[in-house]
Amino acid sequence: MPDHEQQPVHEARSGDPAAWNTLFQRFQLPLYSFVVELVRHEQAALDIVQESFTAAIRHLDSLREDRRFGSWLFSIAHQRVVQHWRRESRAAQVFQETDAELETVPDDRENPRDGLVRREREAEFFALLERLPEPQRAVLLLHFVEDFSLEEIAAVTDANLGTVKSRLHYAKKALRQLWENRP
Amino acid sequence: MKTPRDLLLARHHPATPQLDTVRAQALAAAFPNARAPRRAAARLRDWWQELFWPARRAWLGLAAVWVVIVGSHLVRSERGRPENFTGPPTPVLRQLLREQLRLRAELLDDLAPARPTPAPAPPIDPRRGAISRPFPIA
Repeated sequence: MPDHEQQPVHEARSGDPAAWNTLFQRFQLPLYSFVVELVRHEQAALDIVQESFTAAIRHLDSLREDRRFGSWLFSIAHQRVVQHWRRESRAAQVFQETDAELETVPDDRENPRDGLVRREREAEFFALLERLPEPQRAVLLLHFVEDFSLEEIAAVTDANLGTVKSRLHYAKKALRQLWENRP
Repeated sequence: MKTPRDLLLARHHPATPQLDTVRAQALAAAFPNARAPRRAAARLRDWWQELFWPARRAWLGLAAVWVVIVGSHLVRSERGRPENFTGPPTPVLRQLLREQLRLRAELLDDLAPARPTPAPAPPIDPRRGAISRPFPIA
């Protein structure tokens, strides 16, 4: 979340429903996008978003810094996603990560301006995203959706900073390779 | 140029109505009392707008009439109240009361119907006095 963005977290701490409404309205679509890309099930994603909202209201005392509200909310949702994976018996997936360099993801500057082609490429982008291993996808989504810092992504995913750096690095590399090798 | 964020949000934007519902449900569950006053206030506002406001002059006129009625009633009851309502009766008042009671008693005596005269006693049998007693009375 950008630092300049003012969120009524202080008002929410005093139990103001209007403040909570403002906060949730701000984050609901990015949070849902993050969750549904991970669980790939719309109703499950909606349930996780609602559980995350309820948990946020109940446990706001555990948030130390108001400016971290966004990453804190995403961390709650990520915990629910992991629980969902466990329920779906998918938590044991382990993916091999290799060293490489990648700075950017494919962008539209390389694409033709034609709308149909652009939509096709967008669909391709999401198809490639779905092929990434879940831990890498989670890190990449947090980077894309809210532009969280590496520290914030580490807090959200409950991983150490080195692991997050590595996952983000390899996620970008894998996405680039998939993009370049697409038929 | 669209960023990955733009692509992601645009892809899932159709879910916004469901997300609005999810948000409302979460807030309603967490703040069950927050909606009640709002609903009551809304009902009061509706009542005010539908019932009172269109005929506000008539309601105000009626209220003014009632104020006048109640005010005049209060003023009259204040004037009619005895000044020394709870104090003990003075000697003069006691004397007046005694006089009133006496007059009342006289009035009642005057108005009371005449008592019927008792019937005359039957004549005494002269022989009753000749009854001999078995033994003399001391």
